[in-house]
Amino acid sequence: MTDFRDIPPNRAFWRRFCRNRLAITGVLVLIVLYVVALVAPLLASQPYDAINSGDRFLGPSAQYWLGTDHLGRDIWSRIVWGSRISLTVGFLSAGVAICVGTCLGALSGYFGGWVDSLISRFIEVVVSMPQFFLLLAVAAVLPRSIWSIMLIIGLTSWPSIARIVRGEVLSLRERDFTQAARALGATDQRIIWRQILPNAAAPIIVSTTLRIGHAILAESGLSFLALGTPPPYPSWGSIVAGGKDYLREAPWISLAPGLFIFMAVLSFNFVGDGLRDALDPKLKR
Amino acid sequence: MKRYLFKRLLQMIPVLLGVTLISFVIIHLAPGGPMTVLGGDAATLDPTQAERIRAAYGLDQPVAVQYLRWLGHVVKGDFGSSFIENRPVMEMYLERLPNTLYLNGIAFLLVYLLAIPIGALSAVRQYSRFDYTVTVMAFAGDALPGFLTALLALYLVALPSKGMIPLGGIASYGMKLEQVGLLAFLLDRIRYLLLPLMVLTLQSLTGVTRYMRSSMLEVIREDYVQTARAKGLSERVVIYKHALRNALIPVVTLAGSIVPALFSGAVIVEQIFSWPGVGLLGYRAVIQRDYPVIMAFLTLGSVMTVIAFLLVDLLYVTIDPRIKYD
Repeated sequence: MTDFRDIPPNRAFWRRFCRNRLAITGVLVLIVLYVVALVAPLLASQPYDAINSGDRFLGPSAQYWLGTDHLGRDIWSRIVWGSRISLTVGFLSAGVAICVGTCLGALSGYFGGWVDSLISRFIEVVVSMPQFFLLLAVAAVLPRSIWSIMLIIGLTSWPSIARIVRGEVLSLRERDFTQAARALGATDQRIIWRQILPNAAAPIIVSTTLRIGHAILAESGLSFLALGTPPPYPSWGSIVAGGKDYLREAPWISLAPGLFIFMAVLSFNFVGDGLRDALDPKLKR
Repeated sequence: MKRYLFKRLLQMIPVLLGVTLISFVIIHLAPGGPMTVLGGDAATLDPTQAERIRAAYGLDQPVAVQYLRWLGHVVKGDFGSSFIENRPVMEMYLERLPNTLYLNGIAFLLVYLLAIPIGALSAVRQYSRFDYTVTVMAFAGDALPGFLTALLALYLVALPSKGMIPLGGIASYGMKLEQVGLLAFLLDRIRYLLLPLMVLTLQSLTGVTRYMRSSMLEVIREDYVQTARAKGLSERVVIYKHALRNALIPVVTLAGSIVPALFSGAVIVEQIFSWPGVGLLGYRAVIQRDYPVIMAFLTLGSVMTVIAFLLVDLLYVTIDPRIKYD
C-alpha cells in the first residue's frame, strides 16, 4: 500500500483511480463508444434506414458485419447510428436528474422545517410509484421525441440523488467551515453553492455516473416496448425489439445491439464504482 | 404500537393523494386528452358527437372537478370502466392480480433465499475466488437489461427445448386440476413458470446480494463479533448466529423497495412471456391509451408499495430490539 498522506489529494485520486483495472477498462470502452457515435457517418456502411429487400435475414458476413434484419437493413450500421441516441439520452437525462435532485436535496437539507417536509413527502410520492410504468405512461401521453424521452427519464429518476444530497447537506450544514462562513455574513445561497455543494461533490459525481447507466437501460426498455425513440431512427433498444420475433432464424438482430447496451451500462457502472473508491476511500464497500 | 400504526396510516394519506394527483395530471397532459381515443381522429369527428362523448365522460367539467369526482369514486374502489373493453377496471385488475402475485411472490422468495447465503459467504470469504466471482456476476447482472435476459432465456432454453419449455403463457389450454391430477397440473405450471421466474429473480438478485455482502462485511468488524470470538465460541457460531442475524436487519428493509421494482419489471417480463398479469394489462392500456386502466395501475401499484414500506418498518422494529416505535 502506498501511503497517500503526502501526496496532493488530486494526484492521490488519479493514482487510486488508475490502479482500478475495471474502472480503466470502463473508461476505455466508453471512449471507444463515444468516438463511434461521433464519427457514425464514417463507420456506418449504410444509412440507418437503407432497405436491401434482397438481403433479408443474412447472417454476419464481410458485407454485413452483424447481419441484416427482416427488411434487409444492416444491423452494424443501425447500431452505430443508434449509439448516438443511447449515449446522448444517457448523459442528458442523468443531467436533468442531477439538476433537479441536487437543487431539491440541497434546499431540503439546508433549510429543514416545512421545506424539508414538503420535499421529503414529494420524494416519497415519486418513490412509491412503479417507476418504469410511470415512464411508460408519460411516454405514451407526451408527443414522441428523443427530447421528451430524456426529460421524462430525468424527471423520474432524481429522487435517489435528492436523498443523497439531502443527507450530505444535513451533515455539512453544521460543520465549522459552514459556521465560519455564516459568521462572516455569507448569504444562504453562497453557503450552499460555495461551501456545501463542493464538499458534497464526491457522492453526487458517483451517483450521477451510475445514473447514466440506469438511464441507458431505461431508454432501451422504453424503445423495446415501442414507446421510446420514434422510428425510423434506431436506438439500441428498438433494434433488439425488431429481432425478438426472429430469434430462431436470426438471433443476431437482437443479440448484437443487446451486447452494446450491456457493454455501455457495464462500463458506466465500472467507472462509477472506481470513482467511488478513488474519491472517498471511506465509502468503499 | 397501536399509536405508531395509526400515525403511519395517517402519513400514507398525503402520499397516496400525491400519487393520484400525479397520475391524474399525467393523463390530462395528453394533447387532446382522452378524447383522441374515444372519438377516433379529432378531425373527422362530428362536433355534436364529440360534445356528447365529452359530456358522457364528464370531460366538459373543469379539471379540478373531474379530479375530485374521480377521487370520490376511487376511494370506494371504483376506477371507472375501461375505454376499450367497457368493463369495470377494478374487475379487470383483480382478475389478473393473482397471476402477477404468484409470479412475483415466488421470485421474491427465491431472491432472498439465494441472496442471503451468497452475500454472506462472499463477505466471510472476502477477496476469495468465490467473492470475486460473485462481485463480477453482480456487475454483469446489473448491466443486463431485463428484456435481453428474457430474450436470451428464450433463445438458449425455450427454443432448443423443442416445446418442453413453452415460449409464453401461464398454463396449457384446458389444463384443469380436476381432470389431469395434481402432478400433471403442477408440472405444466412449472414449465410455464420457469423462464419468467428466472428472469425476474435475476433482476433483483444482484442488488440484494451486493447489499447483503456489504452489510455482512460491516457487521463482521463490529466489537460484539470480536467479543463472541474472545469468549471462545466456534467460528461457525460466531458467523452464523451472531453476525448473520444482525447483518440481515438492513437487508430486510430493502424488501420494501423491491416491491415497486418487481411491479415495474413485471411489465417487460409479462409482455415478452405473454403472462396474463397486471403488467401485461398495464402495458396494453398504455399502448391503447386506456386511461382509466393506466390510472388504476399507477394508483394500485403505489398503494401496494406504500403498504409494503409500512410492513417492512413494522418488521424492522420487531426484529431489531434496539429500535423503538417513534
